Amino acid sequence: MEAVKGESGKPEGPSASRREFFARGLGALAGGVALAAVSSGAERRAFAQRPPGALPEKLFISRCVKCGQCGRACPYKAIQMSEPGSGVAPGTPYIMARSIPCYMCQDIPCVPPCPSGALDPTLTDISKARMGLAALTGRETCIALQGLRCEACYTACPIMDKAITLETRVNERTGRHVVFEPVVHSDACTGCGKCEHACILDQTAIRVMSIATVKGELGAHYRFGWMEQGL
Amino acid sequence: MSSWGKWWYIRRGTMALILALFLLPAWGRWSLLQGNYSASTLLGIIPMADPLAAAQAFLATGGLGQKALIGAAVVTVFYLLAGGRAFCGWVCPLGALMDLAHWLSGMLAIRKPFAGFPSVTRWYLLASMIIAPAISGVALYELYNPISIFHRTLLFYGAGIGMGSAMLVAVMFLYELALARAGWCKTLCPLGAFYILLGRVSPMRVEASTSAPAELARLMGETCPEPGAIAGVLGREPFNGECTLCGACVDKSGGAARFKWKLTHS
Repeated sequence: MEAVKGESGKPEGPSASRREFFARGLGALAGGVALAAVSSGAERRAFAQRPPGALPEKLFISRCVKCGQCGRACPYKAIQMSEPGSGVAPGTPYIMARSIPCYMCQDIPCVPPCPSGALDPTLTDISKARMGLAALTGRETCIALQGLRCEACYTACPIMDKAITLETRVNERTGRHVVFEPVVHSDACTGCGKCEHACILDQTAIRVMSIATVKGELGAHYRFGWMEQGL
Repeated sequence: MSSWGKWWYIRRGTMALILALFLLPAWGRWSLLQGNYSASTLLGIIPMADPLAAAQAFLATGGLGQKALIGAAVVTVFYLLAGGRAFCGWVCPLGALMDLAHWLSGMLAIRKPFAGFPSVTRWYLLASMIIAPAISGVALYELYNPISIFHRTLLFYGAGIGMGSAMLVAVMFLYELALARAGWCKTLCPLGAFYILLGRVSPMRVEASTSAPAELARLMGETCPEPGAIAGVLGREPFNGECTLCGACVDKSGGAARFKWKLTHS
């Protein structure tokens, strides 16, 4: 390591003059504003299933200090750390339910180790977790909807008969069989992804996505009279 | 540049030990130290957090968990007492990797075409990464922080982390190995800059007796991996905090320089 000393420009540290100080401050401010401009546009589009208790996505990405302690606490190794270029904010924990879903441990071991509060420590009842919302997107491939018996997602669901129910109707094709349609209910689904994991298709027909994506949002001006009357 | 004296072994041993403690939980062994260099838990109770990572999260989101706040305080106080850039010299594995790159480029006699960024760049980076999250509400830097990426690659490879991160680490290594004479640690690293600030007020320093003979001082200057640091150690310039307390000069000095902990340095 030969002398690099001169190249760095000597005036640094406490001896820097006032003008240099202000120039430096302006430079830093400019850099900060530039970085801020870049980062405000850095909102992710794709959905990442977060561990239980995760704050809303945008807040979560910045609050999380990317330490991986939630992942180390997960007995199923369901929680992974994302890497640059994966489409998920680098370093943040996420779950790939198709490989390993959240098994909804009663004691939620992943949340208490979180030092930043990116995973909400007040979450103590795992059935209150909202990691996303399952949706049966493959209506043309789901074999139950084609009239075959499957129920893999229904039986895998940890909140059986509440988060996924089987709705029956007559199989119009045969006229004498029943179609058992798995229907997801947002008031009970935690978005754990066990249904996505259990789906027997080569590419899953049911998958966890963001609640907003799956559910949509009704305009505030809609009034359902029968609901207001409690009917 | 590197002298393989007593302090070199103690320092690298310390670094390897901390790394091993981090890695043990990954292999399903004792979790004495859980997490990574961004935030961790020691012995299941003592929280530690990278002060800059914590600051960014706090400034971006207007709040932070108690453990991260306490952890950042724990780490800040520790390096305030232990000598700011002791982190760079004794703990940071990226620093070790960069040292390895420099050592290799010396061995291979590689001529690097780029002098490196001016060393003030790290101050711009430090200031921007404090300002930007506060304005934008996004802790962007922390997503692409090379230190964090390297630490994640070391500690979480296979747990979601793979080739993408490894490639980034390779790029950093090549930058140090073949491109820049003054690379990441000496000119760019904002975390190092933060620890420079702590080092300036830390009671822990390497100090040499001012009466060190010129020949010895030259030898110590040659062995010092931080070109801006040795003058301060020798008392020829005000101490600027750039010393990583690596102890290379202590090994070379034959007793003229030593680690010194005292509240007021002359």
